[in-house]
Amino acid sequence: MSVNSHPLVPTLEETNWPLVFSQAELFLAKFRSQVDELPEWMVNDPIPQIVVQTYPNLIYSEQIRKPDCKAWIKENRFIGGIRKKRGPISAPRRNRLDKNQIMNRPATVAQYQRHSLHLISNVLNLRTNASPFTVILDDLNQRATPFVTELIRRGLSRNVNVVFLSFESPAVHLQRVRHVAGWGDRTGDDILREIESAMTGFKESLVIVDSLNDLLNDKHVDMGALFSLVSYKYVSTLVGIYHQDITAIQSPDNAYVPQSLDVIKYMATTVITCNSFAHMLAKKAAKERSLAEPTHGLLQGAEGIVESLGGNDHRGIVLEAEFRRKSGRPESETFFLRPARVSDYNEPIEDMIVGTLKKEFIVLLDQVPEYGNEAIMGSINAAANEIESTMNLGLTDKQKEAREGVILPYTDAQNNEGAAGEGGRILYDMGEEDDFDEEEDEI
Amino acid sequence: MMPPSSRIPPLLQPYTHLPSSPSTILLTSTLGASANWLIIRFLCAALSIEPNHPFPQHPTENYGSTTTITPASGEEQDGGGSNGSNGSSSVNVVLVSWMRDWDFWKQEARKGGGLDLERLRRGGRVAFVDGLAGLFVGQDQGQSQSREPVRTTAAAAARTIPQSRPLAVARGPPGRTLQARAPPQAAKVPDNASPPPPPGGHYYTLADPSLKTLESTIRTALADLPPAARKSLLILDAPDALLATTPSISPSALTSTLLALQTSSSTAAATTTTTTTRDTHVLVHLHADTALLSASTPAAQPLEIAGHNFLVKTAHRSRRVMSCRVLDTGVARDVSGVLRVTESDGWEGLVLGQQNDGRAGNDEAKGGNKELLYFVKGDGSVKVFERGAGG
Repeated sequence: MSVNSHPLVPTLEETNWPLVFSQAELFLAKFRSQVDELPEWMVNDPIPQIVVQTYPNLIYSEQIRKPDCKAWIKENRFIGGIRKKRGPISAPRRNRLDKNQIMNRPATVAQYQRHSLHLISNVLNLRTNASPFTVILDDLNQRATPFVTELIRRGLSRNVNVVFLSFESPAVHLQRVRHVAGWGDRTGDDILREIESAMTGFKESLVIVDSLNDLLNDKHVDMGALFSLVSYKYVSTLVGIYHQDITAIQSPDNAYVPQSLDVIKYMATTVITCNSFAHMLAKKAAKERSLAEPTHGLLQGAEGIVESLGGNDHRGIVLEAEFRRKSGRPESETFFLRPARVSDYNEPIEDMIVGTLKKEFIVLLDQVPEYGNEAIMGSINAAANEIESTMNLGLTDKQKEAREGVILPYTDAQNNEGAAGEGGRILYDMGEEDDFDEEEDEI
Repeated sequence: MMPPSSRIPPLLQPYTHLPSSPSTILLTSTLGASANWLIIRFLCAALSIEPNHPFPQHPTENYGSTTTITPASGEEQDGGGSNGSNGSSSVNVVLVSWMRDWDFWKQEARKGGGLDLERLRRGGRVAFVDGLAGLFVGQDQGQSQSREPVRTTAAAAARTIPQSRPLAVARGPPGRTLQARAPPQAAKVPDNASPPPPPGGHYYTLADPSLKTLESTIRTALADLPPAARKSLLILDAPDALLATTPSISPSALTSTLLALQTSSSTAAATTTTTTTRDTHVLVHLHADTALLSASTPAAQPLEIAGHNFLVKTAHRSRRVMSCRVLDTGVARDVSGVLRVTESDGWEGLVLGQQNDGRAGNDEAKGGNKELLYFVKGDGSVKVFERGAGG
């Protein structure tokens, strides 16, 4: 790139971007207001051009182009004709360039990816105040288990106190995790009290609720109470799983209360939707062929199907994340989290179960080789093209072998023997049941 | 008679063995494709492993004389997590049924699995909890009468009698055993319309539909089975019948009862009876017919929502979901239906080393998500095959 070769401009990696942005903003505000009045030499000067090249969306193209294009914009705007005179086109737009637009899109793809990964990695690694309340929406086709397992592991690796409020699993599976049982006769107040006692004495905690459905609809715990307890009082992270495929019941005596899903979606600072990798591939394949998106599992509508075959893909989990920044600006991106390996973490030190993380391994879905790979998508397309039937139209190895073993009737004629000019001699082995009639066929 | 373990088709074997950690397995069926044969196969897998001291009815030569399949498959099921010794791998079974009675299961097990459930019950391997007779059969006689837990207390009284090893008793004539061991039962019988419980213990009847009764009955049934076994399998056949017949029971209450059973029974076994902990696996059989699950428009009915939510909730908790359904393309002469098996990871992947070891071993044992065809023949035997390999 010509940017990097310029002696005055540091490389992209070296640049202190916040500083540049704040200074560039002041400069650009001035620059923009005067861009029409600038002399030709300044427009052609390399430095503004570099700015223009690096931040293509900082300056509207028409503003950049205008000095050059003046010649072919028609002057006559039908003055005195039927049409009314319009003002100059670019004038009202000039002020539309605001701060958000400058910040919105990082210039290069690499920069954008780094930014997105930074956001998810903050959430995943439970950085303080990155996301006080994360909602995970899952269903039977892709359960949140792999993602939550990773969250717990990251928490343990940073020595964060992990509290697991469980409505679905017995306690025995989780080591080093403070298990609070939510099921049984406990009331909502009991649960809140138990959570508080599990958090006291720790500087930082991670509270995971494995079914917000039960907590909100069955135990009638106020989401605000839990949120203020965990996030305000103990400055900790709250993570809740909500099963999307469980039908919520509107209480008949209070019909105007918003559904709990709406409430938690409204309160959440990060909303993560879980998808199966196989289903995302199928969805992409369908999109490429302009077909309707396939449905899976219970939604499929076939009687007796509960889970789909492609669900809970062991290759990894696809996370559609929506981050709500403090400024109120939402950002969305889709990520791919593969199962963790031993090599991803350092050796745990004493008293710890999990060592520290070596290198972040969550990636954007677009960065996953399989997702962009033509060949794999082609095979998925081919599978989708196959006629669905109970018969297998392909061949097994055994059948293939048998088919290759069959000797076709005229094979001999193609050998040297046949080519040697013996002509149309008929090769035929007499079978038992053949009755040779000497009179009819004389050879 | 063929040994029970060989009644499990080879393709099915990875799925009928229980996971190493206590877990929930969900079976679903539809009206056209019943899952009873599958429950029988689970019973076979659990009961074909002999405890350390085999009963005289099962001489050890049995293993030697039959084909080599038996010990091999026995070991395969053993591979779930115990460390080899035969006694620790035996599984106690508690069968709770709301839709079928004991006679049905006895016949089905004999026909399809070659199991003598009656003898196994007397031998203390199987307990049966009848949710049908006490709740639904004699209901005309008034709710108040069935409320008093007649049979449960009777059975409990029978159980408190210190049992000598029931070998001799079990082989004796049934009538004599009844007199000797459970006289209160005989006295109470005329009060009730439903048939008396068969002798030999390990037979319970749910007297009222409340969850409390259910929990306490199952808990006593579990605790009463011999503590030598390391695992127990709790089979719940159609608990969705409870949701349908008792509107006051909510899906989440039923779920939490199941959870309580799963957790406390293993801890209770650890504290009271033996030093070894006993893992309780739960096998839930539910109906997945569209008519029961999909909400009718415009206004969904409470029962539809409850049925749907209970199924989804249970599926969320399950490690393995096995669904039977009819063939998508219509009726076929040599295919009864389609069996879809889906598996998902539990929480034990948390510690990395364990997870990876477990995975490497498990991936071969478990087939992952799969769809198989099955054919239940007239004689009760089952053929399981892949698509296209039926021929």
